[in-house]
Amino acid sequence: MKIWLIKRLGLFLITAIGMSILSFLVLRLVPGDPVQLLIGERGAAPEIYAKLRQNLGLDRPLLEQYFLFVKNFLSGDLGISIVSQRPVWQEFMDRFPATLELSAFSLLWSLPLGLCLGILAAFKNGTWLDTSTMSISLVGYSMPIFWWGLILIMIFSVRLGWTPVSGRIALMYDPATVTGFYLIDTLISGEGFRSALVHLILPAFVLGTIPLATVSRITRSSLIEVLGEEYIKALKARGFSSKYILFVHALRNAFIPILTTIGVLVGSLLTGAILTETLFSWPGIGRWFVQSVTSRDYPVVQSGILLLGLMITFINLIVDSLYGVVNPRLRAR
Amino acid sequence: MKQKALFYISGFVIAVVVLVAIAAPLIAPQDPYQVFEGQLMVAPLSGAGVNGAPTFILGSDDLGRDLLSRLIYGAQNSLMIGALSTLFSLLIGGLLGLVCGYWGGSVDFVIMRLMDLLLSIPSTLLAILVVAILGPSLTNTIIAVGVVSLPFFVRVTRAQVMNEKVKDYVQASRTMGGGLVHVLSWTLFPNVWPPLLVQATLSVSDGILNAAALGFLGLGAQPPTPEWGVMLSDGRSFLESAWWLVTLPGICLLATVLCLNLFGDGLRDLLDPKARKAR
Repeated sequence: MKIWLIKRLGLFLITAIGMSILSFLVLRLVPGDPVQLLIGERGAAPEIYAKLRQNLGLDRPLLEQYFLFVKNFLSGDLGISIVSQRPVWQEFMDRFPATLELSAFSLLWSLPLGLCLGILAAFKNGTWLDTSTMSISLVGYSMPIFWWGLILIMIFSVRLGWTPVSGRIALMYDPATVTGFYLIDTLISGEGFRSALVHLILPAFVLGTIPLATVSRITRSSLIEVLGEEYIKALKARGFSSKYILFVHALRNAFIPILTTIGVLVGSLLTGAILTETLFSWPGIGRWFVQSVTSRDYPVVQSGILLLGLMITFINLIVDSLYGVVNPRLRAR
Repeated sequence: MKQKALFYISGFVIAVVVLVAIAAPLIAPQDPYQVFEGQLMVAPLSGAGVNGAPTFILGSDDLGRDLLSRLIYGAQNSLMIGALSTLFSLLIGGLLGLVCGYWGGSVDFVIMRLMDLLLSIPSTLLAILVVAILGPSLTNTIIAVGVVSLPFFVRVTRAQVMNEKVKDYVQASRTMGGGLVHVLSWTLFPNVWPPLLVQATLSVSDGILNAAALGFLGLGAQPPTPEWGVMLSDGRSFLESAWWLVTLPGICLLATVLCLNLFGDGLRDLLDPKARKAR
């Protein structure tokens, strides 16, 4: 277990270094002069040009630039956003709770439901219940979620008027930031909870669609595989109830691929939020990132990619370490 | 039996979409870029006669262009992106995988860590990263989407090559004096391609979806190019007044992607009977 953990940490380190190089290269790989691109076609005075170049650190040798970038990153200095002139780290922290709240809420409904549907489909393998669950899951899996969101907005926001079209809360409320989660902050401040909730429902539903489809699919397939094993037959032969077999034996052994999928999902949620946030004008990091790419805000793009990438790799590391908890056989290795 | 039916139906739908895309100039009723003045957001099946404008079978968009023609040319663009990006990652990924699997060692280690790196960045983010470097356009969309599916091809090819290269027939080919190129292309390749074909089908559907997402975000194909993602993004402002502008491009997108996924699944069952039991 210890050796295994060290090995994993080593791989994490290699990936982290690779990511830092990759995000460092973004600004340098842009064809042409990034400073010129920032200034635009009208040009600027040479002093301003030189200053901008210096601010981005582009006037030093490449290797020195890289080490400076890593050093600054590790000490928490992610650079200054060109668009807002505020530190990138501050901009990130302003928006991160919004993305976290949206992701958490979408997992809150889609994971349990996906698991239940998958178990049910595997248990009733071959019946109409199985077929219909899997058909829905297949459609959900192929669904362009930005379109799915548009359709839901058209029905529930525009036609029925049940939910707001966009944003995170009605303009009249401005809850004092305690946790950054509006659902909690509005409860503390005592007003606007309803508004925050109805703003959250539709985006969370859209963002949870793909996790729902993926989780139910993988749960079903890995459970069906386990249920076909010899030891399950042996348990049946000994007269154990099918519920006991399912929950105590089969599910636990089927859980590794499910856990892996969930790990990948949590990572992709953070960026899957890119489309959902853009669609619903949700003030999170996904939308911020797209805006930064569009407006060529390179410091944000550079640090943002590294920050997101590291977070996702870290989540996967945690998921990997959870394998041992779920499956004791892996602990011994 | 039901699986087979789905396989054939999805294959048929894909064939139709491909035919429509190829024959776009012949069957599109209008030029997809032509603007008909005073014919803004005409509902489907109306708008005949006024100012010499034609009947818009599926309505017109916010600039007065024929939606059906734009959808047809959109199929052309989407399929082209899907096919070219898959070709890109199939060629490069296949080659890298072949090198990794056949030689192993430090080359293998370096390339595989690089692929792990690409895999650890979620697809949409990676595609946006590539676009951030190259700038948004149709060509760069193809590259971005191709880069996203590259690691999968490397992995599949590598695993397959590693499996096959130790078998007797490869040894025999080498003993009989087969050169490197001969062994790789004539002996190994025919036994490596079936899983690659499945991967390619799934990669086309992923490519189409990713490209549409980029288009939707304004980072892919640029207006006025008739591309499904771009059309959805354009139609967003008219949710209230023109339902067909958001509904129809999405249905085309969903149907194409769904059928490609079904077809890929069916293909896997056909080529790899072992996988049949598991799913």
